[in-house]
Amino acid sequence: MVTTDEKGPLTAKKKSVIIRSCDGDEFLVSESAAVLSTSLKKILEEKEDRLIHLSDIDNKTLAMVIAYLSTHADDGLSDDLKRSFDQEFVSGKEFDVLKYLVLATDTLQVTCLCYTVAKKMADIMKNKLVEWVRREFDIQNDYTPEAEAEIRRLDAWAWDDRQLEDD
Amino acid sequence: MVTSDLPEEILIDIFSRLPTKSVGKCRCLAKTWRTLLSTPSFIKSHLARTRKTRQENLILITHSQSIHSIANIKDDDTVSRELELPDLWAEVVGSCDGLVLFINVDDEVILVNPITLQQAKIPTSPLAFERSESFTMHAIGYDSLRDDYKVVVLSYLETYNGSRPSYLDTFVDVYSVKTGVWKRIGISPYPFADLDFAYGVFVNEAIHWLSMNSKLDCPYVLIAAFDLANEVFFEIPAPRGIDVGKFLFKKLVVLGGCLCVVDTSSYSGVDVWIMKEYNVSESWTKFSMYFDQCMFKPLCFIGDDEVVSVVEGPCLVVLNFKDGTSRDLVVNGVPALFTDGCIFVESLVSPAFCGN
Repeated sequence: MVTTDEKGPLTAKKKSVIIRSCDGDEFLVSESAAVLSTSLKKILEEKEDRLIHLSDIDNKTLAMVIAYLSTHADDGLSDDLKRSFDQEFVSGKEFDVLKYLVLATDTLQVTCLCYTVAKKMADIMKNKLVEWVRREFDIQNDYTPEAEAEIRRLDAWAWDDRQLEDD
Repeated sequence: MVTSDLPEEILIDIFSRLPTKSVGKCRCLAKTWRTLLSTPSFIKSHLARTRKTRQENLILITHSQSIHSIANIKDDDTVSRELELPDLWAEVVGSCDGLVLFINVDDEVILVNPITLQQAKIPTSPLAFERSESFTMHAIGYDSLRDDYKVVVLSYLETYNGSRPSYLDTFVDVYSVKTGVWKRIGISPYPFADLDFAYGVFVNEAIHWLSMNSKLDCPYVLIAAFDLANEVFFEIPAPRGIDVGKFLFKKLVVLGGCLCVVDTSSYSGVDVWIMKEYNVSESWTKFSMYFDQCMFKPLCFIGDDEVVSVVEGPCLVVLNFKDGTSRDLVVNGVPALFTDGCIFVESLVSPAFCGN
């Protein structure tokens, strides 16, 4: 399956590349969008091959990253529009989805998207309970209840405000 | 590896964007996390992000000599919190990267992180003059070359007693927070005036104070600077039109990250000069307004035109430089009564020797 990116049919002048996700789907992306990823840019400089296989990025995540790259490669869009696209892009996304996205942007080296996603994740996390953070990041608590209580007592300064949510 | 999910550098990226107290809470996630969120490199990343947000908090000394902080100045419901730092506090010298330098009523100099409530007493320099006969000016700053916070003390000795000598030169001593060691830099070519609530001002990697060059026929006011990394003195031009007369009514402060000279010598009001671009003499911008006060210390901007200041009273007022109006700042529902204050940023930086 070949999916064109959101900008519609590519003009003959523009070069494009095909990017394949780990689950086998292929995406047709303009070269101008692909090179916004430092990793893809390097690959394209090193080899003539127009098919790039990404073994650790799934279909759904790759589609999101490509939508982002295509929007940011669009010279017709103002910086303001791109900024509001960025806000829209991360809003309402599940924490898990953001985790896959941040990993993908790290692999593909898309620094500005990595920042946007990391910022969104921090925004979600800041009012959550420690138990929520453990769950979402798959962290094993290796403190005994007594030891954890002691740590919390030592760091009492961090615990003197309230209003936390857990969901 | 602290989790099976994400690489460590991404985790640091995400967690360094959390508010300081959220990081503190996350220090109990697991043992490895406590270590990760306490490393100097994490604390630096976190500080770099906080700096970017430019969120300024106020630290204030109350009439009863306790410490309060204000996180958000709002028009109607500004709230201050008393910090659990039992002592009798007299003066707040200044702040750098979330470390605030205080002097208590016993003249002890104490470095405090008002967020983590860690504090460290700065030992007296072995070369310090007898306190009762000397005049000192303190400052806190950061030496980027050695990655070290430094307390700077300028001092001179005036005995008023013929049998013992005075040392009227300005001695400069620097204390390294990292090593816990004092070092005498030498004698500053620029003296300072001993004034209430006048401290060295840290901007652009250097400590600054208002000084005067009186060796020439025609004395002039200048801003003396001491570069913490290179340990050299230099001079920054004072605003044009600042005269040498009534020197004691002039004060150097930091406002909005810029050097700022406050002049209360005129009966017609206060003059405030702001050096918008560092060390660019043409960038001095003057604001004047009618305000009959000798004690006047601007702390921070609210928006573009309003400045929160400590004035005699003692209280906090909001001055509007644009329309010349002033109003009391209402804190906790009443007009705020504070004797001194300064701004600080939230950070995890430790005030203690060796960063522990």
